[in-house]
Amino acid sequence: MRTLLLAFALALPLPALAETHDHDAPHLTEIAGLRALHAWTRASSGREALVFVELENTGGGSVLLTGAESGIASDGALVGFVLKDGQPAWETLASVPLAAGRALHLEPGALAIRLSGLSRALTEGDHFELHLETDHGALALHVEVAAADARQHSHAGHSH
Amino acid sequence: MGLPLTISELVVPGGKGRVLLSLPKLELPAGALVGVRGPSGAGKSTLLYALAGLLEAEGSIRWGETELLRLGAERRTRFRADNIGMIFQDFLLFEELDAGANAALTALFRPRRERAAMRLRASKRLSALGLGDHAGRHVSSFSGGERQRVAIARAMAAEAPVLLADEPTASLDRASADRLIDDLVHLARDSGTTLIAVSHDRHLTDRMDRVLTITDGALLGDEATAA
Amino acid sequence: MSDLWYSLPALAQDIALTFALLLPALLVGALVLRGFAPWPLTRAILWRFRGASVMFVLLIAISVGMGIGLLAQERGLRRGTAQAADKFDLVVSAPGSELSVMLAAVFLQPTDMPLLDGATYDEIASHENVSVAAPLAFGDSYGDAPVIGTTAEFARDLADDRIEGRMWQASDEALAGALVPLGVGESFTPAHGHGDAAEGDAHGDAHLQIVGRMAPTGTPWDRAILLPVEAVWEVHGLANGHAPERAGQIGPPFDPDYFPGTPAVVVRAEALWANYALRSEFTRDRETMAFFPGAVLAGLYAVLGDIRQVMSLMALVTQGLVAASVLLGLFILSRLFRRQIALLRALGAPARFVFAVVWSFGAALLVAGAGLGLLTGVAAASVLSRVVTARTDILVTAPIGWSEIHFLAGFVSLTLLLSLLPAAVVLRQQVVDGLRA
Repeated sequence: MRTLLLAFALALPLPALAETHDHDAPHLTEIAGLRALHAWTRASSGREALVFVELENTGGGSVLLTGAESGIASDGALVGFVLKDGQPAWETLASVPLAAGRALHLEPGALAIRLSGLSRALTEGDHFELHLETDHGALALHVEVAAADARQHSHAGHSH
Repeated sequence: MGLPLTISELVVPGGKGRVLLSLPKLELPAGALVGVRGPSGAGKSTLLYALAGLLEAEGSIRWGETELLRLGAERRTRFRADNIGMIFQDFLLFEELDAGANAALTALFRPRRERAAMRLRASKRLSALGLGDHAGRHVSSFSGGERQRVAIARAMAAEAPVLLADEPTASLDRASADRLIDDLVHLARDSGTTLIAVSHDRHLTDRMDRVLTITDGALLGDEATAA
Repeated sequence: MSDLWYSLPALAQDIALTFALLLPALLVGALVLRGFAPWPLTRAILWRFRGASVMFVLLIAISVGMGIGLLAQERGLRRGTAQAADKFDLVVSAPGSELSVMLAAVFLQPTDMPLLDGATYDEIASHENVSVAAPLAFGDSYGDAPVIGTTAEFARDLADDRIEGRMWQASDEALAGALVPLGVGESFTPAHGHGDAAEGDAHGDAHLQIVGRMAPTGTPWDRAILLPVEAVWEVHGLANGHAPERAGQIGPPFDPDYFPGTPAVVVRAEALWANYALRSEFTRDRETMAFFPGAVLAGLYAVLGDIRQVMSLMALVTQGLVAASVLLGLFILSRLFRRQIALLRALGAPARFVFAVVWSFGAALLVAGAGLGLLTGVAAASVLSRVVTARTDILVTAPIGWSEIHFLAGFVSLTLLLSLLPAAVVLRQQVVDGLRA
């Protein structure tokens, strides 16, 4: 077990080194009290990308997240992480409700927005637009492309 | 039918400036039976290997219309496959194969369409040599005389017009050797094959049309025999 | 092209990849053997050098088998550990290392953990999205068996409701895991702590009776004794989770005021999405930590994945070296059948035929070794699985998968190409020297 522990320690995320803020694109967007902070994804030349974001429902009523769409992808869906037969997999979730006053973290190993059929490669430092679809309309997210092996947004932990 | 042989100005070098064999002129008609004798190391085997195209040499070796020394390595091999059958003192059979497979060995590298005919000829040769009932036996259980018969069947399976034999009776007892000589001579005469046999065995050389004597890499004698 | 590839079912992709890996070998084989029938001679040579041939085949088989066995084992271990974590959708504990908590809760590796208090447990248990919230109270043991306090509902769920005997009904009753050496009806006294540090007399006056035995789960829980969480609290002299007027109650709901605390809570939600929502909700700085054991394992596997690649590479290098020494051996052997090779040339065999004979000799050894290696790999993986299962109580099965097949196909292809070398060397030998040898 000790080797496993050691192996795991090596895999733990390093604290973000980059502390400079990029103010070209807003980190925070909002619709009907639903706030999205720090949307990010990993650099990739594949056909799929997982987008992570911190959501918070500051409004008075529940919001239902139903899906996502982006100009750079043919399809977008909410997906949840599962471990099947020892193989990591992402299962599609039709919708996810977010009650008033609650937060929902879309993060690696939990929830994500999966974009499939990407029309271009994602390189580190890129930004693209994504619309998170809800029963109160679409919430625009400005997704930042992080390193291919990133585990969290470079500004994670900052409140804006 | 056999092939006639014309040799002129043949020199087989042995490296370091030595000459293994030098033969200014030799002509043999098609179907001739020729014995080659001489002391050990005199160049008899060298002559045989040169005639088979296995040695680099200068001068000319002509089998029929073919100038052997002008052919490249693979075309010489091809010529050998089609025209020359070889017999060795210690038979050189594949001990793990039966007599039929040994006799038809060369079918393995013949085009597929020729293989069946080749096997048939090999098996006829075995029958003619008295081994027809033993084609399925492994040659490791054969006597020396039987083994050499298998080797003859192998050499003649392709109906090669030339047979080159290197001391074919040297590993056999007298009685077996005599029977083998009979068979070999009859087969060669019946098919009109040109036979060149290097041998110390007078019983064999006496049955040839001509006997060449090679000493110190040179042809010292060329005599017709009484046969 | 890549669209077509992704549109294929996984099985078709696996078969296609295997074929693609074998293709170079098949092409070379077809080119070398075209128009010839070298097999009778190949068989003859194999038979003549049967001792050496068997040695070579065994050498290849063992090196290939060990590589395949290890790779299959690594995947089996992943599957086994994932399966062990299946019943633990979401774990909530005090903040700390997810890995330590997972090892404690899922794999029952003892560790000191701070407790969640009654209010926190109550908030989890009464959350609208939570269907099951089972406290896990560990720290005690009996012999080698960890003693875990929890709820009847979770115990049933762990055993898939297959319990021989009956479920506990009082705080002095317990369930034994499938491998616990205590029969139904036997009594025991739990010790405080584990192993050498366990204080055997700490709970001297507590006598618990086994009333049921759980079906095997293939997890470390097979070695555990489960009892009502109330019993754990009681033997430690704490309140038992219920108000005095309901002191005899076993199982939830618990009264927050009389809840002594629990190191971990296993949470299950009705809907898949709710697990993720709950994770977000109970991930709170300095209060609680919520995580999916599956995600922690996946993180481990990602590291193991890199190790697997290193292992694959090492296995491939080892096999390459074995194959190279076999080919060297072939080359030495080829000196022994020099006369036969020379004879073939003298009889008019084309160079390519001789080449085909020597190559097919090597190919026969390599293919036989690879085939036998596959069987050796299956056997090695099954032996390793048994050893690992016995040592860890995690049920590990390691059937051979496509990645091993691909590995093998790559090995066969590469070595068949390599065995062109000794075949080429043999051709360079002088025919007349060979005949006279």
